[in-house]
Amino acid sequence: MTTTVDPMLTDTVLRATAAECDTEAVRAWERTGTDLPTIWKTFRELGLLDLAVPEDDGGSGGDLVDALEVLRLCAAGSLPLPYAEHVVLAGQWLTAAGRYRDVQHEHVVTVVPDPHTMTLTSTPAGPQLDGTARRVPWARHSDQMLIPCRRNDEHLLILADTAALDITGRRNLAAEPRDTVRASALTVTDSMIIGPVDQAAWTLAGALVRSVTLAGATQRALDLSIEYVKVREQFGRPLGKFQAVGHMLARTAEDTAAARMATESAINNVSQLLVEHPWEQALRAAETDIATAKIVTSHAATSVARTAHQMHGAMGTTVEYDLQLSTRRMWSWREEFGGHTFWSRRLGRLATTTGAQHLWDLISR
Amino acid sequence: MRFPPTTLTGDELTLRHQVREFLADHLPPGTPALGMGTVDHEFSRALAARGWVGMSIPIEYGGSGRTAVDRFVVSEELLAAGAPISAHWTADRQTAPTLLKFGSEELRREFLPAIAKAECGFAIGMSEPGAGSDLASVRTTATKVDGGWTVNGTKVWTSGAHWADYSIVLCRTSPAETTRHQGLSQLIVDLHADGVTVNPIITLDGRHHFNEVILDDVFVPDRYVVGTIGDGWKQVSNELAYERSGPDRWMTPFVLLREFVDRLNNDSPAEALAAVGDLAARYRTLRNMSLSVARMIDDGKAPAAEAALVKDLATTFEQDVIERIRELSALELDPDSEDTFEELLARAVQRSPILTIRGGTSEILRSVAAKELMR
Repeated sequence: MTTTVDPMLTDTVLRATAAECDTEAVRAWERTGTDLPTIWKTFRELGLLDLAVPEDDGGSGGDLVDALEVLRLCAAGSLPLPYAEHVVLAGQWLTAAGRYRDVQHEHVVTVVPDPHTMTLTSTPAGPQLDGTARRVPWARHSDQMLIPCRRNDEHLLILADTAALDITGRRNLAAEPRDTVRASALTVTDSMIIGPVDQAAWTLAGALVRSVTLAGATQRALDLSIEYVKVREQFGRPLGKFQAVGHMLARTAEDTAAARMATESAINNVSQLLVEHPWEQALRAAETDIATAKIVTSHAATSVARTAHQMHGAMGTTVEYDLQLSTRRMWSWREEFGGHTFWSRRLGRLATTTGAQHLWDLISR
Repeated sequence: MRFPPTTLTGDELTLRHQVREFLADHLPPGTPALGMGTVDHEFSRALAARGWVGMSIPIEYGGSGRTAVDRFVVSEELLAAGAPISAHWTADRQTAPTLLKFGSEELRREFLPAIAKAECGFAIGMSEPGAGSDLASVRTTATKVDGGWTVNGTKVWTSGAHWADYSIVLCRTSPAETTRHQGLSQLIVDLHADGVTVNPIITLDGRHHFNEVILDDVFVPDRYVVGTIGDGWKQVSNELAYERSGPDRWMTPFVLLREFVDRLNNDSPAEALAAVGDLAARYRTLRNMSLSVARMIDDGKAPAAEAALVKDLATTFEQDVIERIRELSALELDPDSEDTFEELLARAVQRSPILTIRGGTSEILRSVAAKELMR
């Protein structure tokens, strides 16, 4: 069963992107941007930042499939926005805990990716949070962040004010903020505790969103390549008419199609599971699909970036040309929330534990 | 190019279950096959008795009138089990759809019920010594004579010609005039007719699978013309396009991978576990793409470029599976090994080069896909 997205939604995102955050604007933001681009506010006004949160919980309705489609479009457009973190991850985790209303409408919420960095300890002054989390997306632009942490043998999710944390600016290859966040003896009140969190599900949710963004970015790299080899002429004919280039284009299309298939299959399965299961359980049940998506998209990121650049020649390596906006993102996102090696080992262990006699089930499920 | 994701319906899952139950009782003992395996007429007829041969043939012609996806489900289960399905494979995959699409009513009545019973084997008569990927340069000729045609020429890489009953031969019935694609036709040649000589072509793994078929003044009656005289190119292109991306293009090394996983446990080296995870992920994705093509065919679409893309990705992947497992196993290859895994690995390494050649080379497929992408 395939879940579809309203074409109106796609159209809305593409229009806003063209009007307010085209690739020229993205380049300018990368040079001088300090605040989030203004399209973030437009997205809020359009209700795109509350997607997949039920109206009863303070959201604008729609479902996860809608939110992930908007995310894919943001990634294809290389929009420098915390859409994955704020809308999909924070939005879904808070909704699942029934705490979406804890966040003010204008606030930006991000997430700490690594669930093993922060510890909650009991002190006479009450519970306190300590630790250093690296590579936190968009921390400096956030008002609040969801922090998975450990308290003795349990794992809890905390919603903390960014102002109470120490932030050091770092970036990924695409100039997206990946900051270092330090908590030292931060007093955690009862209201900040969102509830227990499943660490495996936390990483799975992150891998799902990064797969979606990789599928979007590889598609854009392919589209730019097709356009380029049609138009660019050498030796008196378009590059694409040279067999060597045409074959590279075909290989690029294969990897891009595989990335999209793996991602859409994972989205569809999670979305089906969500009909009957809560968020964390749905993620756990879809582990094979999400691992597959991250393995295949991370692999595609490497191969598509390589062939797309090769097809573009020296032009594609300049900051003026759009290809680098996509490839720098692909080189960053492929490692985030677990890269090819992490998820391959995870899925390999799963396959081995399940047993050779069930390997076919695992592949054909 | 777009591959809409799809999953199996309840009925399709029931069919899969039935095939699994059948295989639990009927799978011949011995080492599982890499790919389609040996020619086992008895096994093929047992499948036919369940309605799993000629599934796409309508009931009125003796088939079971099932969908492309139903056929996909049965095929992948048989291949996953390493079942021997060569006896009916070509007739089922290629000949039946061609006869249904282009054959006369008389031809359909004569051959389709026999194909569906796995009682009539076909061989593909396309390639020639001078016409491999460049199929339009075939030089086999058919000359009009009273009541039929006289065929002369040589076909090569003819899988199964040494046991099959018939071959659909692509030949020139009139000289090429404006384009080379004109004047080609498809005729059914009885492989037991006078003037037919079948010589084995032994492949590097010692197997006799391919043949050279010499046609020396072979008479073919008019009723054995498939479709229209002169339309051969169009018919062949059609025949090649749709069945390119089925499970037979990615399942060849599956039983090898299964045996490899069987040798691993949780304490196995991380690189072996990572390889299994990577290959399983790519396997799942390829299968979904191949299934998507089957669903598109059932939906009345003509995904020729998509099928070419999947076949290239799939057969390249098959070679990757074999190579990764070989690297990690670090064994000296022994084709006579008593160990199932070692024997399969030795056979797979020798099978590997043909995978990206048969049914359209990777280079031809990439050109087909590139043309579509550049449109």
